[in-house]
Amino acid sequence: MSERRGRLLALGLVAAGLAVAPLAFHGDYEHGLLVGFCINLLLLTGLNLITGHAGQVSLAQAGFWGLGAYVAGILGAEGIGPTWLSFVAAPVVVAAASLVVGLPSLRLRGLYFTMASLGAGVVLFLLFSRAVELTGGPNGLLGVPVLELGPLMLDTPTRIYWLAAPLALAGLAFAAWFADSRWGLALRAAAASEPAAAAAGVPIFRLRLLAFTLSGAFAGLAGALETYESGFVSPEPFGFIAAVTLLVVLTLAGAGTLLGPVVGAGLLFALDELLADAADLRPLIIGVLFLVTVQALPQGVVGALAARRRARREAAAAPAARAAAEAVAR
Amino acid sequence: MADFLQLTFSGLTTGAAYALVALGFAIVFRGTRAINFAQGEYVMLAGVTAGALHAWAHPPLAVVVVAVVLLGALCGLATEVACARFLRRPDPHTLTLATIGLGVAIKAVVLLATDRKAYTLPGFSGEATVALGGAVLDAQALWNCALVALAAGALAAFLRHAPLGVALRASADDAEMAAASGFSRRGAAAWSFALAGALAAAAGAGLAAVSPVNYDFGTLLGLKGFAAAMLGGLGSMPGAVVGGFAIGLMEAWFAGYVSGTYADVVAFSVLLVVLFTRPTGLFAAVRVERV
Repeated sequence: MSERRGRLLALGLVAAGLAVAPLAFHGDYEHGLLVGFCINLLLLTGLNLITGHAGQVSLAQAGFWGLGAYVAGILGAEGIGPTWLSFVAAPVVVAAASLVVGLPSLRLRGLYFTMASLGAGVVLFLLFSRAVELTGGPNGLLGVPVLELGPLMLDTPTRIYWLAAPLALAGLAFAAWFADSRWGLALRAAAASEPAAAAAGVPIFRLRLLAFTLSGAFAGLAGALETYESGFVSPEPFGFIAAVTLLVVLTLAGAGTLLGPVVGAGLLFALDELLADAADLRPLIIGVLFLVTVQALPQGVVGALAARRRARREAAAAPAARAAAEAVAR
Repeated sequence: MADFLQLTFSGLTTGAAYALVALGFAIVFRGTRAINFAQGEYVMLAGVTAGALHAWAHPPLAVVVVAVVLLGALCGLATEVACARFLRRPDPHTLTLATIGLGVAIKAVVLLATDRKAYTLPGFSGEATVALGGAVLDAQALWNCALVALAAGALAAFLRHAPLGVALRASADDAEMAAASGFSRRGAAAWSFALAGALAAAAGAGLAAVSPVNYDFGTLLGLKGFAAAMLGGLGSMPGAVVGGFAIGLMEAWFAGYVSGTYADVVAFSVLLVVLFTRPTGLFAAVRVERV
C-alpha cells in the first residue's frame, strides 16, 4: 500500500470514528467529553506541526489556546459581531500573536526556543488572571452567548460536537497535506540536520515561523470551541500544567506522525473518563507518564509501532536483497 | 525614601530565594547541560515539609532547616535516578524534559498528601524587626540574605578546594576528560542535582518563614528562578546570585511603583528580553546556539 493511500485510509478511519462516537457514548456529559476530544485533537495537531515535524519543542500552545478562548469569549460577551465571527477572529488573532512570538524566539535553537515559548505561555497565562477588566480575572468571563450559525442554535454539547468534529477532521487533513508538502519535507529535513537542509536551500527560519503560526491558528480555533462549549472562560485550564500535558500526550502518542495527535487526544479522553471522580490524580499520572515516556519511548507509541513495522519489512526484504546482491556479484 | 527602602527590603527577601534557585539551575546546567525544571518543586517540598515538621513536633528551627536541606539533597539524587536511569547516554534535551515530568509529579504528590493545606514556619529570630531609615525590616529578610551569602560562599569554597568540587568543575569544563580521569558523567550529574536540591531546600525553609506555603507555590517560583539564572547567564554562579537579587528587586519596585497586579509578569518579560537580545546573560558562561 502506498504511503498516500495509507494516509487517506487513516483519515477515513478517523472520520468514521468521529461519526459513530456520539452513538457509542450517550448523554450531555459524554458528548461534552467528545467535544473536548476534538479540541485536544486540534491543539495536538497544531503542536505536532511545530514540535513533531519541525522538531522545535513549544510550551506556548496552552497559552495560545487560552488566548483564542478569551478572544472568542470577549467578542461573544461584548456582543461584537455575530457569534460565528469568533471562529474567524480567534484563529487570526492567535496566529498573529504566534507570529509575533515566533519572530524573535525561532531565531533561537533547541532548548532556548523551548524556554522562550515557555516564557510567552506563562506571560499569557498571567495576563488572563491579572487583566481583570478585560478577562474577568480568576473568577472568569461570564455572559458568553449561545453559538449561532445562521438559523442553527448550537446550545447542547451534541450540537457543538457536530461543528467540532468536522473542524478537527479538516484540521487533521490539512496537517497531513502540509506534512506531505515540500514545506513539510523541508521542515523535517531541517529538524534532522540543520546544516544539510540549509545547504540544500531550505529557508529554515521562515518555514519554522510558518509552522509556528499555523500551530497558533489551530490553538485559536480550539480556544473558540472551548469557550462556546463551556459557556464561560477562566484562566485555570491554560496554565503551565496544560502546556506540559499537551507535550506529554503528543510525545507519548508519537510526535511527527499523522495519527499521533489522534492517539494523544484519545489518551486524554480516556484519562478524563477514568478520572471523572479523582481529578486530583490527573497531574500525578501525567507527570509519571511523561517521566517514563521521554526516556523509554522517545518516539511515542505510534512512532515505535511504525519503527517496528519498518524493521519487520526490512527484515523480510533482506534475504531478497542478499539474493539480488549475490546474483549481481556472480 | 522610606517607601523605597521598604520595597527594596521585600525585593531582597524574595530575591534571596530566586538567587538560591538560580544557583541550583547553574550547578545542574554545568554538571549536565540540562535545565532542571523540578527545581521550584524542591523549594515547595522543602517549605511544606519544614512547616509540617514544625507543626507536628516543634523541633528547634535549626533541626528543621538541616533536616529539609538533607531532604533536598536526597530529592536531587532521586531526580538523577528518576530522570536518567533509563537512558544509556543521557542527553541534555531528554533530561530537561524528564525533569518537567518529575516536577509535575512532585507537585501532584504534595497536593494529594497535604490536601491543598498551607504550612508556615516561625521567623528564624521570631517576630523581630529592624527599623532602618523609616522602613521596617523583617529580620527574616536578613536571614534569607545570610542564607544566600552562606550558600554562595560555601559553594565557591567547595568548588575551589574540595576534591569533589574540583572534579565537578573539571567535568563541567570537559566531561570526556573528567570521565577518562575517573569522574564519570553520572557522578557529576548526581552530585550536581544533590547540591541543587540542598540549595533549593534552604530557599524553601527561608520562604516558609516569610509567608505560608502550599503545594502550588513552587512552579512559578522555579520559573522565576530560571529567569534569574538566564539573566545572570546560565551556568554562571555569580550571575545566578546577581540575577536572583535583580529579579527580586525589579519585581518589588514594579509592584510598588507601577502595578502590584502585573508584578509576576516582570520576571518573564526579563526572561524574554534576555533570550531575544542577549541569550548569554550578564555573565556569559556558555555560547548560545542560534540559527
